[in-house]
Amino acid sequence: MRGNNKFAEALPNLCWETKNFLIRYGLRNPQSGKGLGMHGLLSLKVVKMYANALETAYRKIHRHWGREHPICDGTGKIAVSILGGISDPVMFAQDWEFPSIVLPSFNNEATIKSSWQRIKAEIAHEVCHVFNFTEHPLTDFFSARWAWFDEGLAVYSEGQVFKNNLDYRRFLPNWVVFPEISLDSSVAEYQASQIVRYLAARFGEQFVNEVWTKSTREETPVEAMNRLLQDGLKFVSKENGQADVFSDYCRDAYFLRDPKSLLYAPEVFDRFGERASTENFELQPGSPSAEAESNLDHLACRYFRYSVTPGVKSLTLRLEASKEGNSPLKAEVAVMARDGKNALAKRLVPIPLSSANDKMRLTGKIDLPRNVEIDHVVVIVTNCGLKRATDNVYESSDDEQEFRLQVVAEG
Amino acid sequence: MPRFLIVEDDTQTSKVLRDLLKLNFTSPLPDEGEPQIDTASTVTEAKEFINNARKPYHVAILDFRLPPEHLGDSTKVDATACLQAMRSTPPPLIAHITSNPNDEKVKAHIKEYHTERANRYDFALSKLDSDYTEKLLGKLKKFLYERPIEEQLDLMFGREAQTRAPSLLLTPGRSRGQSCMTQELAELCRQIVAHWDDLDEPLKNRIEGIFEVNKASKPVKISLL
Repeated sequence: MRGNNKFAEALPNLCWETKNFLIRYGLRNPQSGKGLGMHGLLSLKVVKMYANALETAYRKIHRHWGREHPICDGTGKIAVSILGGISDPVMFAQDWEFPSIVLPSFNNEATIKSSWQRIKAEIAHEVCHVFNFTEHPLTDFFSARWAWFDEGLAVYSEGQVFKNNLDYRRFLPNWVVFPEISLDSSVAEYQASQIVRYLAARFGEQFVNEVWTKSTREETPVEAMNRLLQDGLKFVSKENGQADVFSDYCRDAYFLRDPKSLLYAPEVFDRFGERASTENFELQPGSPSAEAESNLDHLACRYFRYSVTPGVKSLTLRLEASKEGNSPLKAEVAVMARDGKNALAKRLVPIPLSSANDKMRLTGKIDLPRNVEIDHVVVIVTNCGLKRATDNVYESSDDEQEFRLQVVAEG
Repeated sequence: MPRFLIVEDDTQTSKVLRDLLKLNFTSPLPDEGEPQIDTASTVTEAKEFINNARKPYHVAILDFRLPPEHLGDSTKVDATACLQAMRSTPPPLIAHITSNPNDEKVKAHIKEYHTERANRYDFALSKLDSDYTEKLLGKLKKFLYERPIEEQLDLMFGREAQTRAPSLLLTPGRSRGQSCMTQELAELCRQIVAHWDDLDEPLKNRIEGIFEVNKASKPVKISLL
């Protein structure tokens, strides 16, 4: 029997039907009958605003991304319930088959404008999940592999469905200050919208759409991207010396004020500041080498920041992995000009291992450009491994890769 | 994936248990793989495993009367490995297995250290029972699947969800961006569907107070509204 659980009891009993949605709602203070308190909307006008936003999100994702009509029950419409007592919207599989949405009846934003901006962002986000359900249904255990890309795509869709909607920026503080958190971490799923943004800027929006729609059930997002990228380019490659998209993303993510960066967003820089560095050094000619020891999890990066005095003409860099054998670590050095532009970038190259007992070493030398006012130099260390640590401590993983970074300044 | 410690001096039994755990707790997802199963044949070895564990075990399966402390004298119960395991944080499930269930010392140990312990999952099984491995498996599944589901229900719906007003079912006070409710709820539901048959009745009742569960379907189907 339907409706004997607590949630079902809370369901308001009014219904507003649109072309693609069946919206269950109630009014806080109806003309007659019991007031619904937190479960009720202010007026019918608000219901219509929700309905319009839902249809807009449907239309944009259906038409622009070429997505099929989502899986629906016999009504052919997507079920939406507007309820109080929930802080976040949620998409779930009704009857373990049909994607449905629960939206909050109100939020705690300070102004009408910011409240409505948030509601629209949440609507785009959940409608994106509903469409995404077709290829990777949340009822399938394999869909857990897609959680970060699902959330990244849903957050990205917020600003695409409703142009100039900046609500997604509430997720950026953590992205700015935690570059060392793995891209596919469950604690950073909303922050994955930044890699989706980067991929869309570099390969076009259809690429990110196809990563979702043309992937197989058992693939991971990274496997799908590696397969779909053209000309031998890989999303991520452990091969040192081979370019990969993830390393480029980590570099561009640092240069938010450079118009050539695919993540160019000076207003994000103004609002949240520079991406967090792991360690900072001041270098002058003849000063002792700057040495940093650190570690890095899979699909993550760290920034090391060097202020150089005018007398410094070049830097010699060396990164050594702590473990013997090959390492998924890569490194690149770049020069940040005073105006925020990336004035020069160079990858560190590996010294071939002569035996299995050797530790991986990357080296590089960079001559600082003379015609540029240098703000600082940054070394971007990326972990291009894919294997996260599991609970089984004996299983090898690409996490916690320890390394030592040494930089020497020459006059 | 769960981490098991088997402490058993009989190599044949140890192998049977190892195979049983590997068969039943290996994830179908390749990125999760096999459970961690460590085997010790003496109390000393067991204590070393517990001391050196980088992460505490989820389950310790402990035989009684282990060498070398009592080699040639199998009448004593050495409870030190058991006590050491119990001190781990969080404490593991202790699954005692014995060929001497009626031994007074074994009974005394069970009564003293397990019957009245807060961990309601601890138990002892007789290896003389022909179906003891099935019973063991059932109890391990209950522990390994029920506990995470209960914890997630507490987190998402509050411990008192069944007695509260429906309007407070989802934990209030969170703000957009702190967690992905869609993914968390999906994972919870996947676990409930996958392990429904292994859950005990009170937990099933609690779940049915929140979700609509279609038990006629195999596997069960679950709905929120």
